[in-house]
Amino acid sequence: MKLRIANLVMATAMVAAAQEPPVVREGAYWVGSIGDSFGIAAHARLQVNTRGNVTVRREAGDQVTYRVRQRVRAANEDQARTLLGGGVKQVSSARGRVVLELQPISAGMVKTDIEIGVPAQVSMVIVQTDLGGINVADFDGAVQLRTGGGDIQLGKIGGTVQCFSGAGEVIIERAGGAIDCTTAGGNMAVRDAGGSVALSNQMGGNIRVDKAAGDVRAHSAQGMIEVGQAGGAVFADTQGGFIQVGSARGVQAESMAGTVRVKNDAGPMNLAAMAGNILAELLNGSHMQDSSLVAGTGDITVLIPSNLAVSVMARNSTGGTPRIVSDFPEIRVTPSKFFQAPMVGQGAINGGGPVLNLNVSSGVIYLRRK
Amino acid sequence: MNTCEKVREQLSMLLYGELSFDEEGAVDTHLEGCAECRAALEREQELHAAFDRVEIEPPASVLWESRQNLQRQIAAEHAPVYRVSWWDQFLDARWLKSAGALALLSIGFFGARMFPNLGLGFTGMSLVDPGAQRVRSVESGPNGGVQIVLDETRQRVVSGGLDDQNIRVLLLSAAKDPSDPGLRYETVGILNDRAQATEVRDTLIYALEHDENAGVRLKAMDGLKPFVRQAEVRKALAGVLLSDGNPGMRTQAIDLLTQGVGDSTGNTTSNGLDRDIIGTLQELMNHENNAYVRQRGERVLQLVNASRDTY
Repeated sequence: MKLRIANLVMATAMVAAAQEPPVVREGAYWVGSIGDSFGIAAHARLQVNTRGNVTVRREAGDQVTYRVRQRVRAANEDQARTLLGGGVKQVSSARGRVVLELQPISAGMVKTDIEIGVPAQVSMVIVQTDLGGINVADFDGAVQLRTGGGDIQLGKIGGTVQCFSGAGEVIIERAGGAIDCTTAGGNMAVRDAGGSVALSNQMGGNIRVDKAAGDVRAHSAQGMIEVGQAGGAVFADTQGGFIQVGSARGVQAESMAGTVRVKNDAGPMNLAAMAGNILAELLNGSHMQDSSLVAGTGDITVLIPSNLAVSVMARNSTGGTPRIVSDFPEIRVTPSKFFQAPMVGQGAINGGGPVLNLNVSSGVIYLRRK
Repeated sequence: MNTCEKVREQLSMLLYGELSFDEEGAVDTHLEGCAECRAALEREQELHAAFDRVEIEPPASVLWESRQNLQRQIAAEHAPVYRVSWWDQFLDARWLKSAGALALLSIGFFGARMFPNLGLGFTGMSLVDPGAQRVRSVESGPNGGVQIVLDETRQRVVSGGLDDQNIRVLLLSAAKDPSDPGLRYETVGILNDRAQATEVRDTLIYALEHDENAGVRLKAMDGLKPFVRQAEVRKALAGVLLSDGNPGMRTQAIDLLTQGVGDSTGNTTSNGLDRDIIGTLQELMNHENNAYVRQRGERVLQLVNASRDTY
C-alpha cells in the first residue's frame, strides 16, 4: 500500500504555475503564447487535460512539445493580460501515464488553441478538453478523446480510437484498431477502420462508415445510417431514417421510419422496418443463416441468387388482398381464407437451406430471382 | 291490434331469428299461454320447411324465352305504349341496382380470392395491381350500371436532369414527404447541388427549419453553407441556433453565422455581424445550456464589442 502511494506521490512534477506569458499585439488582438517540452519514456501514455481547441501532431525525437496560444481583443496590454489570466501548467507521471495539465483561467471570450507534439514512442494519447474541438492529424498509437463540445477530426490513427463530444461532428479518416465514439448530436463518419466500429449519436445526426474490418454498431436517435463494407456483422438502429448496408457478414437493423437496404454476404439477417420498405439482397455464394425480415407498413423485397439454397416462410397479414409475388415456382402461395389473413408462401429453393422468415403487416412481399 | 295479432305478425321474424332478445322473450311468453298462436307458429314452421324443400332450378333458356315473349307482346301492341312494362319496372327497380352493384362487387372480390391465379391475362379485375388500388365509392348508374371510383397508386419511372422543371417539382415535393425521412435526406442531398435556385434554397430552408429528422436538417444545412451571407439563410440559421434541440445543429449554426468573425487578421469588426445576429447571440446567452455553444456565443459577442445581455 505504502509502495502504491509512494508511486503516486513519486510522480515527477514540474510545476510552472503563474508564469507570466509574453503578450504581443497581432492586428486587433492581443496574443499570449507559452510553450515548452519534456521527455517521455517509450510506450508511455500521454494525457492532456485542458480547455480549448486541441491539435495533436506527430513530433520527431523523444520530446513532447506543447504550445498554448490565446487570443483576445482588448483595449491595451494590461486589459489583455487580465483577460488572458495566465493559468496552470503541470506535468506529472505515474505508472506509465504522463499527465499534462494546461488549464487556462482566462475569461470565456478568450480563444485558446493548444498544440501538442507527440513523439512516436508514445503508445496512447488521452485528451480531455472542457470545451473545444480536437484534431489529431497523424498518430501511430491509440487515442482517447473527450470534449464537452466541439468537432473531433482524426486523420490516420494507428491504434484504437475512443472519443466523445458533447456536441459536434466526429470525422475519422482511418484507424488501425477499433473505434468507439459517441456524440450528443452531429454527423459521424469513418472512412476506414482496421477493427470494429461503434458509433452512437444520442440526439440525432447521420452516421456513415465506408469500410470496417470488424463488426459495425451504429445507433442514431434520428438520422441515416450507411455502412459501405463491413468485415463483420452490422448492428444498426435509428428512430428515423434509412439504413443502408453495402456488404456485411450478418446484419441486424431496425428503423422506426425509413427504408432498410441490405446486401449480406454471410450470417443471419434480422431486419425490421416499422414504417418503410425492406430490400435485402443475398450475394452470390453467400453463406447465410436463418434470417428474419419484418415490415410493419411497407414492402419486403428479397433478391435471391438463382443458385442459392434457402427455405422461405413468408406471411403477409395485409388486410383486404395480401400479396406474395415470387419468381420461384418452388414457393407455394396459399391464399388467405375469406377475411382471414395472413397469406402464406413457403417452399424450399434449390432444395432448401437456412430459413428466411418474412413478415409483412401491411405491404407486399416480393421474392425476386437475381 | 290485440296481442295475438301482434305475435302472429312476428312469427316469421321469430323463425328467421330477427327478433330482439326482449321481443323474442315476449313472444315466447305469449305462446306458452296461447294454443292458437302455437298452432299458427306450427303452420308457419311447416310453410318454411316446405319452402326449404323446394329447390327451383330455372332452365337456362328462361331468360331468352322471356325476352322472346316480351318482344312478341311488344310487337303485338301497335299503339304506343305509355305504360311502363313490368320488365322496365323490374330493370328500374332501385333494389335491383343496388343488388346488381353488390353482386358485381362480390363476384370480383370473391372471384379474386378464390381464383387468384386464373391466368386470364389480366390481373384482378382487369385493371391495375389490386394491391395498389382501393375502392373509394360505389354508386348505381343509369340502366342498371355501376360506377366505381378507384384510388390507384401506380409506379412510374421519371428521368431527367436537375434542370428539368418536372424533375425539380417532383424533387421539391419529395423533400417535404412526411412519411420517409430517408427519401427526404436523399432528395435534399440532390437539391444541395442546385441551391443557387431560389425555389431550391427555399426548400432547403424549409427542411432546415421544419424537418423533424436531425439527419435531414444537417443535410439541408450542408447545402446552405455557400449561401450563409444571404439574409433568409441567416435568419433560418438564427432560428436553428435558438430553437433546435440538437446541440450538433446549434454548433454548426453558430459556426456558420460567425464565419470570419475573429479571423487571424483581426480585421473583422462588428460590421461583419449584423444586428440581428448579435441580438440572436444575446438571446442565446439567456437560455443556452450547452457549454460549448454558449462559449462560442460569448466569444463572438466579445469580439464584436457587444454586451452579453439584451436591453
